[in-house]
Amino acid sequence: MKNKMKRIFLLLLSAAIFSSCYYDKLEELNPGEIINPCDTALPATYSGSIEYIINFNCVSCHSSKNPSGGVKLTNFSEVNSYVASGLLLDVIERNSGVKAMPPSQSLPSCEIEKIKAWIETGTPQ
Amino acid sequence: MAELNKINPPDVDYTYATFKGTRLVNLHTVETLGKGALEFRIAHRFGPLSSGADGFYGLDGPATIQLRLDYAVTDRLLVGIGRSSEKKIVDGFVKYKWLQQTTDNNMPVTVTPIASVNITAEKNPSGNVGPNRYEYFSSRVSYYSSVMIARKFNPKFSAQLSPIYIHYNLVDKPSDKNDMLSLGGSFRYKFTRSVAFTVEYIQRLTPYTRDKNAYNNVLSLGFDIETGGHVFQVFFTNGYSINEVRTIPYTSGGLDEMRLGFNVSRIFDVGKKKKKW
Repeated sequence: MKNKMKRIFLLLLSAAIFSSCYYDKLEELNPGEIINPCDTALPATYSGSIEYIINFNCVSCHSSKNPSGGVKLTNFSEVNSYVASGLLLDVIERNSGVKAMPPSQSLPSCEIEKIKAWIETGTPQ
Repeated sequence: MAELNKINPPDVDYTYATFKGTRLVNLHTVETLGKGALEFRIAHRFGPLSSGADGFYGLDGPATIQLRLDYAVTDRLLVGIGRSSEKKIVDGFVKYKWLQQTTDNNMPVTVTPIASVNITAEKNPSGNVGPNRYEYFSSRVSYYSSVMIARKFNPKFSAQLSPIYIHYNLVDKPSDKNDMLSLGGSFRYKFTRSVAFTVEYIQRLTPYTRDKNAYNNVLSLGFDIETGGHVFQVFFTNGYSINEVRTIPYTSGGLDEMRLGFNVSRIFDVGKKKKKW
């Protein structure tokens, strides 16, 4: 009897846990509003993809309020100012001699490629 | 004699301690705890070794941490709650040691299913660019489940396979899949009474996103060191996150981003104390 109760309990628990199971896609919930920086069709421009990548990965530390290392990345001119010296690319590629960014783990490789393409085409807005 | 055996079946000798604890590196093991045990666990992952001398090889951080409490309802049933700093995930799991390996090999493996619910408490990650990712609470929820199968081959060597199913209520693109399958392999080789060498590898099996190559499978190599009531697990891993639903599909660093990490646990016995006369 005790075993049967245990089994019923476990079954109910699994049902409760998995009953709120959804198959949502962010792009479908918000049509036309989502950016996937890894989408190759997405333009390598600041407003097209770079702003999203920087906002998502960098601005939590490099905001106007308390910019880490004095580096602000909240708008086009701020981000662009680190391109000419090669610093932006150096840090995201984690080259030696600079502090790798983001510090915890690297950007997904396609996002690095997007930023590279943006720099190579002269950082279009 | 046969009649006697029917009334009192011979005691089964179960294999003991296939692994030293309930986790190896990132994944659960088939082990549960003795009834009434409360395990406090701290898991820590440092910055990457590649940060060099300047970053003290990752020890300067940034680090990610998980704190948790696991409780053994019975010898076979383990439940736990935890919180991870990366993506601020709160999780709860249930784990039941269903089949136990026996020394006479009647049961050659230990089989332990596990299921967990994981809820991210973070604010909208894209800030003010893009819509609110967490407009619905369900979008914060993901699930992890596995049926772990392990065998203690001899007192020194144990191996475990963990087929894993992860479900995210919310993924990004229409072409992304909410369901992800992967396979974990966990191995330990004991070379002294208290120290074992550990290897863990998680292979993602299904194309859960077209950007799958932006992320990496997770490899971990390390040691389990047991002293008194503590098990220290120290290892190198490329996995930055600690919660499985994040580590398995979304580890963006490869072998060039190995980092030091550790798991520490302490068991408190809070089971009912028997009255002594």
